[in-house]
Amino acid sequence: MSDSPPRPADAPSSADPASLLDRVRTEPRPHAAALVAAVGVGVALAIVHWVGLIAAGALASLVAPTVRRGVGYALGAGVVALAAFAVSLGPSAAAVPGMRPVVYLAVGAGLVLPLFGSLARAVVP
Amino acid sequence: MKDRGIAWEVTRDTTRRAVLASVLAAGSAGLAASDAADLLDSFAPLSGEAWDAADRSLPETVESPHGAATVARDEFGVPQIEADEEPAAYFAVGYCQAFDRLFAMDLQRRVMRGRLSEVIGEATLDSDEFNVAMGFADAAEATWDVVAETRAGPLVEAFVDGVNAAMEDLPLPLEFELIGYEPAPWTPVDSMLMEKQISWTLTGDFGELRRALVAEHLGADRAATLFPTRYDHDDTILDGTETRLGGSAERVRDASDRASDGGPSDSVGPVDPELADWLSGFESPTGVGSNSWVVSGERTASGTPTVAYDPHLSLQAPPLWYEQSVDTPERSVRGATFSGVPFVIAGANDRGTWSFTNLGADVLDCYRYDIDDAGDRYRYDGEWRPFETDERESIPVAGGEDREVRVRRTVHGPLIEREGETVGVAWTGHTATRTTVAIEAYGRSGGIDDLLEATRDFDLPTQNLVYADADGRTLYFATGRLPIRRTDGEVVDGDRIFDGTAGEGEWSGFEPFGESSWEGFVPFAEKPHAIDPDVLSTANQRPIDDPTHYVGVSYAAPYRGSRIADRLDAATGDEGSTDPGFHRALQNDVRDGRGPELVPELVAAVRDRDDPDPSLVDAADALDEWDYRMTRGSRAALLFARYLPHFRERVFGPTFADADLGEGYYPSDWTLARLPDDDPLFDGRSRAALAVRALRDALDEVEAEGWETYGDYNTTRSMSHPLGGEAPFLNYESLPADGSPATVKNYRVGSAVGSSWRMIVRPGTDATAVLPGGNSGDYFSEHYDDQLRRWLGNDQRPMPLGGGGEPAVRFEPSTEGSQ
Repeated sequence: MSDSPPRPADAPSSADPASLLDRVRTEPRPHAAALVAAVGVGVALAIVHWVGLIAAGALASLVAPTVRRGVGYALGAGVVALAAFAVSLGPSAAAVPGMRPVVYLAVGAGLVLPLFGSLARAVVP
Repeated sequence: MKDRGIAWEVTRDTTRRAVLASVLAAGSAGLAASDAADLLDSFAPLSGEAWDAADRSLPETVESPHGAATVARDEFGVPQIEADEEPAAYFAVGYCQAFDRLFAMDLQRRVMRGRLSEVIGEATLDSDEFNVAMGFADAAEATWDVVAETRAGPLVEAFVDGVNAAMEDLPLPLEFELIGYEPAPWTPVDSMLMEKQISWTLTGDFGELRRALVAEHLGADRAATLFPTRYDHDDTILDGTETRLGGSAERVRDASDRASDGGPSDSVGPVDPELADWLSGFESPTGVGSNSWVVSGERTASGTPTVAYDPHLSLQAPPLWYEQSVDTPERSVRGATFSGVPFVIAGANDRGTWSFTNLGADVLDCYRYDIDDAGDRYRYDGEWRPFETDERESIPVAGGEDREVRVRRTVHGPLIEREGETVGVAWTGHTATRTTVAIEAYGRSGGIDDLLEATRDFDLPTQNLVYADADGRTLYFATGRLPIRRTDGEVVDGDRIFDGTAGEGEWSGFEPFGESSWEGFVPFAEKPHAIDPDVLSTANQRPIDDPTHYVGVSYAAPYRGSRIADRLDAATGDEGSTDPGFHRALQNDVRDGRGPELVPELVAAVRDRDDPDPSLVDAADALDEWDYRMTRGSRAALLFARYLPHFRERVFGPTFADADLGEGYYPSDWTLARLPDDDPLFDGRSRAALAVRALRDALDEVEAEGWETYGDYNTTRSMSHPLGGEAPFLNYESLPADGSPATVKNYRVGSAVGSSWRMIVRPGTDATAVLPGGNSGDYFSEHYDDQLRRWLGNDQRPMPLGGGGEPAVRFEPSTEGSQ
């Protein structure tokens, strides 16, 4: 017999998506794991297509506790994507800052597209 | 009421989220469907296709159908190719050139084929129309038909295979993504087109059209005064005492028998000014020229001859020249070539070194014809006849409608039409030429005899070949085919427009767009040459006074030539000797010979004024103390450089404007310096007063621009990339530079022309060189601009022969077997 109090009949189970989302937004360890996973998946998608940058912003924002922090998470995902981009270029990365105006497009897309994706956080409360 | 309120809140929240979801979905979809998607496809971080170009590197192994080869890359990215079989080596050459310069190669063939607009748009239609009408591609086809049957043919084919293998194996360079197209496979004809391109750059000259226009507008006498066909100086390349090829001095006629000893006498009128102006836009860039000199072992400290060379061509990113080294049992050669050309054009092998400056020969003639009203027939040889070719070719235009061009050719060559005005053109490059065969043979030449034999095939361009070998032999020879024109059987010069209908100016043995016999051209042994000259220099001045045969009239003013000759004389006279350091210093010479001709009168003019402006006096003082050296830190050099164009404008502007002749028609600075005070151009104006006003103009301009010294104005800013307007990061850094259009260290900031390669070679001993930029055309490469600062200071680095160090790439025989 367990000493734990019985679960109310109408309480959501841990398998309930809403409960899961609630946990990753509020509990530190699941939150960190989910954030890492979200950004990782998003950046992986961004390697395939630029829409992945929107997805990265959306996924990162979804694990944020609030909409405002979701925006911050999305921007963070963009920064991570840009960092991954710089690493992927290797030594050539040093030449990219001089590539005006192309570099503006690259950096702009790296930040604005995830930001746009953070709208998802407002869609899924 | 409370329940209704809650329900209202839920509904509103649901609606808000639905709207946001719609915005997210629609925004993403809309972005994907918009023009921005193309940009994101190219440049988005991580997924952008353009970034593939940042990760271009040579693979460690490459399969080659032509056999094994290795490529080492030295610290400046120069490929050092080694192979036991020549085709294997040239497959690797093609691979390396495509790796380093594929965009430049493709761009150049598009220019020559008239296919720029296909990727650029309407802005380049004029160029395409001209190049299609000129038929360069057909001339290259005719050339390949001949070259394919020579020893060079299989090597060209191996090179082409290498280029195409690199295209398949490697990501495309960044430029293709910036414009948004993929190159077609390279062909042998494309490599022949590169030969036509450089030949056109060096000999494409419609000077007779401009001279005829000037003569009509200003009068023949004034034209002869302002545009002398011969500058009055003694610094010719040859003085007539040189040793010539033995036993082959047969002359068609003595020089004194030459039919034309005065100015040109056109039997037909000038072409329409608009046509002449339009054609001028496709001529050699202003300032194209070069320096070269050879000093025999008698005049060097080491006892080994020395050749110094710097060709003055367009300066751009990447440079025109590409450096490569090829080492096989047949040859060990290193030097510069043009990307797309398999063989070293100027450089050295283990036995000798060779270089080329522009001869300035006239190998292009213009003809006018009677053409019927329908434009379908022209009158020639007493009859109306259809054009030899009369076709319509369509030029594709990116973002626009195709442009149709009518291509007509006469017995002489292409007929160029502009707004209903026509002119026929005969150019030696319009026939099959064997220059590729010659330069292939240069690379494996064993000395002067081999080189001379190979030079017989050097049909175009007309150049001053300067050579020295490891046995101590030296050589000067004028390369290229020189036409002998005949009108009614009489030999005539080519500095006029010919009446093509009347059979004037005929070339015998010339077959445009076919294979020529050259039987009516100047025999090899009768071209200007010198065997074993002791000290000889070339700087585009006329090769010799009173040549046996007419050579041309487009020679440079002797500022560079005189300076080089003077310094060589001073160094080698009285048993003096030179070393490579001296030659590099001479290449670095920035004394401007125009200074002593023009500055003293200006200084005097300022000081003679009753109440001169203090700023004018200061400027005159600075100019008076000046050593005439165009160094980047000099204020006087800046004032002189900006004074000259204002003085030209003040002197020539009014008269030439009245005659509807633009700045491009102004006489040279040599002529300007020698205009007498009472020349009609001054029209009662005082030359001194014009000089002072021009200095005032210059001071105003310098102040407005904020320039302090010459290096503020004279920078590398004009050494740009073809896409540098839209993607300025591709341009080279703007750095202060020395030199002017008239100095040995040659640099024209206005037209981006100057020393496009410098080398000093002691054959069989050692060599140094430097490029204006870098050997790689890949923006992401460390070799994109790693020689730019060295070039500015003429700080040359070693150019050793041989296979180099540890191979970076191994070409392995493909499993399909060697061809």
